[in-house]
Amino acid sequence: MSQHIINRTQIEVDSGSSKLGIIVTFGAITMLFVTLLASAGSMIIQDLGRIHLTSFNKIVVFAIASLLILSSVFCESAFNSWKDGKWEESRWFLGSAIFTASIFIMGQIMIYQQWVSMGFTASSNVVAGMIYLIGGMHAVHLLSGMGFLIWLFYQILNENRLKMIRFRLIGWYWHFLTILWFALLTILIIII
Amino acid sequence: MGLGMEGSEMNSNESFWKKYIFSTDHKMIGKQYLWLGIFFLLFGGFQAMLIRWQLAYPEQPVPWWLFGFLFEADGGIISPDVYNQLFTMHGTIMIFWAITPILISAFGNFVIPLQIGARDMAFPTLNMLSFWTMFLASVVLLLSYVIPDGVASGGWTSYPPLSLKEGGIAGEGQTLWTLALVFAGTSTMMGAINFVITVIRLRAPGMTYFRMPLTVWGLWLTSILNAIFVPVIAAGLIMLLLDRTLGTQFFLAGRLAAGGGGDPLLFQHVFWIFGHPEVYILILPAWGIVSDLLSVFSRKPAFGYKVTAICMSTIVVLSTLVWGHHMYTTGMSPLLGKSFMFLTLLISIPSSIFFFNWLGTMWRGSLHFDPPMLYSMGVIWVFALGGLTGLYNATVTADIYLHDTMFVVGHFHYTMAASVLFGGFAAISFWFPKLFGRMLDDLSSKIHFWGTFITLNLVFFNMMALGYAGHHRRIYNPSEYEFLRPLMDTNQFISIAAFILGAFQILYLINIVWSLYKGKKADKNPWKAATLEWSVDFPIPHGNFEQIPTVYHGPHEYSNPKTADDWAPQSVEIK
Repeated sequence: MSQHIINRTQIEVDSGSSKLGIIVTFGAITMLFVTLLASAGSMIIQDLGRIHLTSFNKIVVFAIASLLILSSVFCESAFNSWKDGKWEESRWFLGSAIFTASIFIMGQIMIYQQWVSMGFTASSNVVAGMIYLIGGMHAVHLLSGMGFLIWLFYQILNENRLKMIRFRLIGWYWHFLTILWFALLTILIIII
Repeated sequence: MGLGMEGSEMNSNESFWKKYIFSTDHKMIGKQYLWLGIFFLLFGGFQAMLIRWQLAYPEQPVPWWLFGFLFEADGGIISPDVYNQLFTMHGTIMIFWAITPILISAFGNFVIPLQIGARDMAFPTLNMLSFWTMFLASVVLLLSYVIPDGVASGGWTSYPPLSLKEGGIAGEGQTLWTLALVFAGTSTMMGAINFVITVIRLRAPGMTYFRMPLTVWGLWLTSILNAIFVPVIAAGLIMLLLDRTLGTQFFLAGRLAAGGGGDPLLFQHVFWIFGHPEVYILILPAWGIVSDLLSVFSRKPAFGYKVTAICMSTIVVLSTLVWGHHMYTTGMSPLLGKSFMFLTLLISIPSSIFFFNWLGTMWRGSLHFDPPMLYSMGVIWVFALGGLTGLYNATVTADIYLHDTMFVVGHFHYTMAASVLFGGFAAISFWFPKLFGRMLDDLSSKIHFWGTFITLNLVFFNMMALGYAGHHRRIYNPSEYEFLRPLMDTNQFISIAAFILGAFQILYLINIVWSLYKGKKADKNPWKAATLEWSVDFPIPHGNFEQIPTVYHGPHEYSNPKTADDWAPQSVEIK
């Protein structure tokens, strides 16, 4: 047998592959939401259901969504601070990113509670159901992103060695979720 | 270690679990997928035999050699409910648990890094997770066999409302089916991302896109389609799951829906937006493998190599635009129907080009009729028949008559089952020496090929004849319909041929197991093939290559007058 057994550490994932990999993943996630949006669109075109939001409702939805932008900015700042070796500052920014995202999630839950009290339940009509589904699917991705952020926070809290690409990609994922949410909201508000 | 697993040597201080169970070595993961796929191939094949028994001898006791004791609760016969479950699970298992794991996951994993000169996949851990997610999906699917009310029975397409509780299937088997497919889709996505990135990023120096073996082209294009379209069906399945579990009504309509209801046709659109590319997802790897193997065993460069790669890419693009041809009878506008017909017929152009390229490769070649070559030639035949009969289904006027008949069943079995299975057999017999260090028994393989080739054509060609005569698919007891009674003899003939076909597969399995332990030890390059995987000794260590090879030319340098032998490995410069 040939004796060129390679140690596992020699088969490292290069950062270029990781970046490309996450871009392809974003594409796949986008396809999931495009399908859901198209389904919602086709239901609205066929007049299978409606959800009536007041201007105030829409403003509240966007206002709460803006917390995600803030969270994204905090996340990016945390990365830049960590890159410059400012652990304390990075911790603060990352903690803020997690905090604002938590407020966003709570805000979303409150909005949904209000809608339910107005009679828009997931089974009241299919368009309402689609909106809950789209929100829920985004929330699943958001919670996984929160998990990554909390893991990062733990690493930085303990000043553990961390690969730059990991921080970078978690940041990208977080920004992607923010952009995705605004795209979804804008399209949904237009088609509703 | 059995099952040929010793072929993937890794770091010697790794534990048994790390080496053989949670391995990150692409070759080991490929083998894991291969055994998983073969298990489900046998399982799905067994269900096909039961379907054929019911169609030929309706409501007669299932004989002992088809495990008749399984049906004792129903007096030894296949009940209508069980029949529905059989054809549902046969389709599901064959497509998602047999063909996909064998041709895409097993050979994609084993072959891609070796053929492009990489040490492993781009993301080895993700690769391992992909297999175990598929394993989880398999467990969930099999769980549905042990719960009350049985497994899914809404057909492999699971159109609502058949697949819903209201007016459809009340049991939780259908729910587990949906969940299992979501997990299987997640696994496929992980694999697809890995394959796409590996090909883009980890090619050896000199391995340009147009020097890649066509096998890699096929697997790469398949992975691109998977990455784009698996999320589409995932969305549909999640909606279906919510309809079944949380009371939403995305796909319910009419009196079945409590409120305004949704749109059952929406599921068909979502299903086929994924489903038609899925046909190419399954067949592209087989096309790629056959394109390479014909060249190896004709000892000639692949005719029109670049054109073949471009045609495969064109088909990938066109395959995304033709889903509507599955829905001509749903009342779509005639203009839309014509558009889908035109686009579908357009696919025949690139398909024909590379079909003729295959013939061009063989033309005046020095043909070696080894088993991989026989299987590859089998693909040419069955793909020709499957492709040509597809033209009828693509044409609106013909399809309205043929829709949901046995003609469609015969057609898609020629394309998706026969082509892909022969491609799989070709791949197994070709890479067996590199996978397990031994040769598959030549005579048994040839007997298997001819037995399979003849019986398979008897089965599927006659299915098309039945369909042309008006025999619908998914009928429990054809003898109950007067216009189908004269066709019962043909049904029995098909079933007998199918049973013989099944028997030949047992021979193949015996051949594999026997060859694993007793087969002739393989040389380093028994086929004298030029691609990179044949430049490494068996067992191939983790990391594959001592030095990453440099590639100097394409994968099909055979009978080149500038070389002393009739072949030149890709890593050897031709002066």
